[in-house]
Amino acid sequence: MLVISLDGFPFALFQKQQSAGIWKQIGAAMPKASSTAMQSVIPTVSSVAWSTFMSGRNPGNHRIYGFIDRTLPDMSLTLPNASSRRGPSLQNTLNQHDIPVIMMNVPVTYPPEPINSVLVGGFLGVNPEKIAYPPEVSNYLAQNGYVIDADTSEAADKPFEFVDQLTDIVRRRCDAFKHLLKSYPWQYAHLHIMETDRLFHFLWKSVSEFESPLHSRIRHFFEILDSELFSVINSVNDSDEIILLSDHGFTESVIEWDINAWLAETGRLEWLSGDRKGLHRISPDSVAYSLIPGRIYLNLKGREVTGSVEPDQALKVCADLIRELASERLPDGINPVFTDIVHGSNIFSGPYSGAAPDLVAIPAKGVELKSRMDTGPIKRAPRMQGMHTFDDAMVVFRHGRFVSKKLKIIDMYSTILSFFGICDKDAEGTVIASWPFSSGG
Amino acid sequence: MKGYTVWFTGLSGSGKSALANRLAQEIRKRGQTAEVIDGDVIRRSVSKGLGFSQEDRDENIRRVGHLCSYLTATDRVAIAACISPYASIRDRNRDLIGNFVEVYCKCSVEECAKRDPKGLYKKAFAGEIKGFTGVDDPYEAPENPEVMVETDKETIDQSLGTILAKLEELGYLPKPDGLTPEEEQAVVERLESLGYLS
Repeated sequence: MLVISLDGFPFALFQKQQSAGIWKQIGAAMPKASSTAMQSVIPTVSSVAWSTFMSGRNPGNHRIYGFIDRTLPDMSLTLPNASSRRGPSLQNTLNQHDIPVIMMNVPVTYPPEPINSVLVGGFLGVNPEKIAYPPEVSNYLAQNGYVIDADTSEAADKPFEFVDQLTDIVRRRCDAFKHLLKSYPWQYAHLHIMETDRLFHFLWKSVSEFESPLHSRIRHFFEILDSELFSVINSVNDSDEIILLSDHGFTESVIEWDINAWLAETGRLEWLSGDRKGLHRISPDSVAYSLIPGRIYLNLKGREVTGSVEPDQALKVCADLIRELASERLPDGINPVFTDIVHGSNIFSGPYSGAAPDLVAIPAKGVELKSRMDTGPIKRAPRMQGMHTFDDAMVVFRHGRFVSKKLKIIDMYSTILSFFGICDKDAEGTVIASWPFSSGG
Repeated sequence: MKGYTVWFTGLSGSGKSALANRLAQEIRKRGQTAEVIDGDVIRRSVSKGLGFSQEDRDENIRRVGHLCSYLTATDRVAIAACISPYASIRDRNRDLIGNFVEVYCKCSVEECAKRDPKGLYKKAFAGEIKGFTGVDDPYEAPENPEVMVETDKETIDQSLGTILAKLEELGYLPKPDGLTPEEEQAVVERLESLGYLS
């Protein structure tokens, strides 16, 4: 089985681009493919989505709630990576059944763990010398110009150069992946393309608007991506299953809305003075604080070192927050800022649910939630052009047929295992596809 | 790193081996060398020929204890998964090994018999096997294990999480991180540039 993931690629855009003649080669390689939209995860960020994909479990089990988290009780900030991820992973489960795995660039796989056969760490990998297992692969990648991630520092100022950079990275990544496919054993291989997410964040308007001066350069990027992925697909057998998927959708970012600024303005959060930004500067009188995107935590006595909210008052405080946040409106004065505000205990369960946010605010389309750790305005113009969406991830099977209409990324773990005839009875997702031939890869 | 032994005890079918293997994976992910010593494997090799009298059972567990002691003394992690029904020999192994973490896999006989992965309970209840722990031979549950997991009430992930947390708390297992200060700074800058930090 070959899995190709395109970070943040919306199903609607995929369909639109197919109609516009992009993805011709992929289409030819998968003429009888089944495709549909898929739901992501909450919070809708790549680290949570891919950890959920890899484990078939919610964050209460895999412990990845975002790109940034806090440790208790001292409120220091941590940057979760593969070492923080708990529970089983697709690669471990497949290995346990003697199925060799090649995995490249999937988020939250850095630092890479020893596996049978190759793991190249993904976002947030930073050290080229430690990017892969076995270490010889790190050397190969370094010698062949492999790039871990794009330099986005000038993406907005030099967009043409940025698109060219992304195109070049895709070529190098696909070349390296094809080398691994030829050189190491595998029955499950997974290539992750991060460059789509980068493009959408910085240049979404030019992606979605055909008349943009950048559009032809961006179209070229997608045509190269199509061609490179076709080349990868050509290096596997026709009978091999191929899954093309993304972890979330994208839409235009219309406004940034800062939950910490709102908590401060409503008298629930106060920052103490100090040089270094961080949650350690929360005043002991604070009622709640937030981490991106939309995670809200009570400043709970006995849990947070600065805790002020008595545990028996927690439900009431949450109810007040939900009611007031639900009444917040966008600048048009009509549309709500949030589509929902849910209790963490309703969506997270498992041994690490103690680390879950007390509330999760789910933004309306176009509202990018922020949680700056300092004073500032609630509403701002967005810094990025594009933002993630929950509903419009995509999944395409070359041979498989969907057996379910409501697809979620958490289902992919059980579905991929089922292709190999493996069942993990503790997984939360369900099997969403069947294959017209016997399983076993 | 300092070596240590994680000793799983519990009835046949209580999930000791499954947990031991999952624990070994997690420990290896954090850079430690871990070996699983499975009671079933030992019975077919090092303890081949021993029976199931109390004397033979104690001898079997004594041998496993010595293997664990060797691994622990050479700075590795020994993970033993044996029924080890008698408290006295478990305690003797604790004294022998030193860095010893006892994990009691609590699971009712009824649930173990329902799982019955090796078909042994069926034979024991039918009288085809004599002296079967939990059926017609006693199991002496630990009074003060470092960790107790209730495998008939928890998922394997929950049990594993409890064990890992205790090993971290006892200082045997490093808390996950793996980044140097320079790498961490690079990650912060990366997240900041993408607007993922705050």
